[in-house]
Amino acid sequence: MNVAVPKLQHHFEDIPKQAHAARLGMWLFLGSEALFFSGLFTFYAGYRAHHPEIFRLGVAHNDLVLGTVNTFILLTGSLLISLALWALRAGHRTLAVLLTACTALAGVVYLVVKGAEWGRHMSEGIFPGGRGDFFVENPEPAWAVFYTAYYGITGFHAIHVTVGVCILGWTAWWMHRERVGPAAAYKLAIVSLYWHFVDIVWLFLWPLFYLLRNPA
Amino acid sequence: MNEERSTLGTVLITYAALYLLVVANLVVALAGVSGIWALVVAMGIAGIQALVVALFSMELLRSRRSIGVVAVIAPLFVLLLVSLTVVDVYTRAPSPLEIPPIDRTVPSPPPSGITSTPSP
Repeated sequence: MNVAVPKLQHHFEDIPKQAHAARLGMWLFLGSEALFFSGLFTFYAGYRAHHPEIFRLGVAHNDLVLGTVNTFILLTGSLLISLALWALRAGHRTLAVLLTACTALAGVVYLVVKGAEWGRHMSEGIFPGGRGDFFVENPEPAWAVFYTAYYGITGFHAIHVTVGVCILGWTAWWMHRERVGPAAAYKLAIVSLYWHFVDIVWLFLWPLFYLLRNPA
Repeated sequence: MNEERSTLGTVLITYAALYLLVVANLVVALAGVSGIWALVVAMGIAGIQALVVALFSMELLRSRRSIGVVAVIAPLFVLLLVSLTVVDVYTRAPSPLEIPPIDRTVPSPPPSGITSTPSP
């Protein structure tokens, strides 16, 4: 397939309309994803409203440094994919491949840091569903709810990061193989939409699980 | 069609602002702001960050209105669901989110000599 011209599907008049339809489809998908995460945010908000002190102590127990490092990693990933899109549109395909691959790498680093954080919690006897020695020493049931929310919400977010890493790697490979070029930059733009969405979700999770720790 | 295009300058300025907002959120937390104000400031900064990402990085500012409709309605529904649930938790008595105590006792085995009979 020629890198210069993306294939025009028969039901579109031209490439710009095809690109717009693809972007609209991705936005609709992201809208449904927002509603999915809203259920998890509602779970957190409801129980935090009911058990503010335990949730505050839970946040204070989490590792602020690792959470902040992950925030910078994801934000840097978003910067890299934005630069990759700019580079591809400007005709610098090799640079776009490199930047997209670096974005995927940022996602991998995020997952490694998140894995280290989960490992630290599990070594303390904190497991999902209120299992582990930590909950014997802290029998208040809200502790189990907080850490179930922590594992559940950050876990679903990590699944989204993993999917994003796979898609970014795939797109970088496609660009390297000259199947996506400047004329089909909208395909990279669609991938970047997904990655920015994952970043936005984390920008809300970071304060909820790492920052809101100060006693009233 | 020239819609949906960001310049290099726009990208760099956008992310400079986003990094600054991350630092601002961190500083507010470390400064010891607490209670409802901590929540309002932290979520407010996160909301501004999300808006900046959506408008500039996701190029919503240069997109057609059909995309704008989706981008506005989805967060509104999220806000509606979260806020109504929190209001319900705060105002309903007894609370719908009361957590029953977890029974951690290990059930003792039945006394010897008693066997369970299988049901027909």
